[in-house]
Amino acid sequence: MEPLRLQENCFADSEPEGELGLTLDASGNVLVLSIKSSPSTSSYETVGNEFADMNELSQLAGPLKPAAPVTLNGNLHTNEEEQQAKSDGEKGTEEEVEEEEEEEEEEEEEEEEEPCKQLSKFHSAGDVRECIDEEHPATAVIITEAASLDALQCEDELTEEFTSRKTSLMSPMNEDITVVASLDALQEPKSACVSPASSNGGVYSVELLENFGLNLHRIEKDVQRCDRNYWYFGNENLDKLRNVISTYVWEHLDVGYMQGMCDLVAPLLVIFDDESLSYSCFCKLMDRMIENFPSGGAMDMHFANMRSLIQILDSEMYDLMDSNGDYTHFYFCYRWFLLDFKRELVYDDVFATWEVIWAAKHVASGHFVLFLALALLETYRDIILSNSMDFTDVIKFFNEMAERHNAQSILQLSRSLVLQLQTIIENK
Amino acid sequence: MSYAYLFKYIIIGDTGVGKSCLLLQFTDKRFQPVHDLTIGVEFGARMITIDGKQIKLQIWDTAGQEAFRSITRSYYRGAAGALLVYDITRRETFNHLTTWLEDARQHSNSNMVIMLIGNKSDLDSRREVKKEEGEAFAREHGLVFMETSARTAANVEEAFINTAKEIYEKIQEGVFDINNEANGIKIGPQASPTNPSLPGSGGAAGAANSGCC
Repeated sequence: MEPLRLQENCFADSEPEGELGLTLDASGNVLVLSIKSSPSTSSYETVGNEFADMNELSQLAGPLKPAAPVTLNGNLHTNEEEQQAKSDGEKGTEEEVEEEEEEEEEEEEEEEEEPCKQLSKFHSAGDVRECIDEEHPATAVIITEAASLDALQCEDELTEEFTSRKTSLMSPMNEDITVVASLDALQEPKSACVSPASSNGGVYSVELLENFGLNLHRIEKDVQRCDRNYWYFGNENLDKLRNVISTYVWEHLDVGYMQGMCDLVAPLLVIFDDESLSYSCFCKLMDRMIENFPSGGAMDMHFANMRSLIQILDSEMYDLMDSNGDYTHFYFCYRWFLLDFKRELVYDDVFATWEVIWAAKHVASGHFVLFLALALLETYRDIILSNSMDFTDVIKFFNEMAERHNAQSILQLSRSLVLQLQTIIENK
Repeated sequence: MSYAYLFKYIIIGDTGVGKSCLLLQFTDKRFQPVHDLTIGVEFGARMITIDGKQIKLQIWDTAGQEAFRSITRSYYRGAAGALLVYDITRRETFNHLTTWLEDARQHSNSNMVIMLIGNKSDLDSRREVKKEEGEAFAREHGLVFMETSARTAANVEEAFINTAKEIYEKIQEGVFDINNEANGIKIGPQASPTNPSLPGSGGAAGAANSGCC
């Protein structure tokens, strides 16, 4: 009975009605573990939904590889958007003219200039809509909804900007894409977004715009120091990074920008090298990750689950932790969970690890990150135990070990830890 | 290396004021113009000498963004010293000092020594906060004040070491209960006045256990 009780502790918060099942493959060593959960009303139900789209995308694009050629211009949009786009696309051309007129009304305020530029740029990323042209079936049209910014604020500079943006979008990779502006959003709300801002258009309060401006300021500062040592992040690609995050924040102003978002966007951008694709995936990723940020409650739950798992799977480690009262807060794994191990591993290993995390939700557990964390800890258990490391030592140790882990062996260990737990539960 | 005392510090202040760079300059004597932003908490340690005694500084570097304030708070407890940093080229980082100070005072032990630091003194041409303003704020709130540059290393040593001196003086005055680790002070393995004869913790064994800073 003991293990069962522990198991209940371990998943009590997250999967109250969880049902565990285990299948071994033919050889008997590789596990296909499923921890099924009935529809949950807890805040964790988002975990179960993530990356549905993502997986479809990876199937299309094949295994994730840095800057893999991405060929799926239209595939990322929802049906709803596509239908909308069909009807919108026809109006496109005349509205383009209209937008340019709007943009010419911009005025002097320097403070506002930056947000405006951002808006016009990233709306091409955020509001991609597909349009099937009868004569050119392959043509896709991106509609930017200029009405979503306070149009009175933007003018001359943007006309130029707009033109150059059009040009850049006509690059070989996107040669089918034409940028068209749409102002019909005012009559026909399209976005299901709950943000007070959203892309539906409208006239925004000064407070809202100031809030967004502040967010942009913070984003700008942090983008400038995101992975600058990694080859991909030269100035041009930092712009993409900024656009993706700015778009997300505009659509989720209630959430706002939080440090850590850059780290989550960066690997997606490196893989896709495409703003709109990265943006869509980031939104999906954030469905789960948002709970790990201070405003959500997942982090404490992760810590509690870690504690329970260690108690079950490594009693010696548990005793050491228990003797160091500090361990009640597992802050040494704070960054692991906040960024899905992104800072702990080199880029190639981040790609592999993220894929496993995403796949694990479908074949093993939506809580696979716990087993990864456990594997990371267990990999160094002898060092930790023999030095009787306390909380401080462990934090320091893992900070220094960042990007020096053997990801494949950690992934392997985390898989076998799932199996171990499974065996314990089966043999209750 | 053995030490007489270990002091725990925390570095706080708005995002981008140079907390991590100050730490890096102090521990590694180098400057990184673009430093990764700190997620959660990072960590540095260095040995200094005060009054002929080896003192190990264990320094916790925190995330500056407001959203993460709740995480930062859990590190105040058990800190003997705090470096409260603002950026002399960004007025708003100075304006936020009051809330930082309230937070620090509320969540730390009352004897924690707080050093106010105006960082980026090398960027004098972009200065938005006068040195006198920093001095006035420090006077008003009973803090030690210094302007530093993590880039040129100006005053960086002094900032960390003067804070340690203050703590050391407080120990001499008997203000700190050095046997209570919640105060952020630990007696080193070699010179434990309460257990001067404890064999396992001192002498050769302590010296052999070096390389931990």
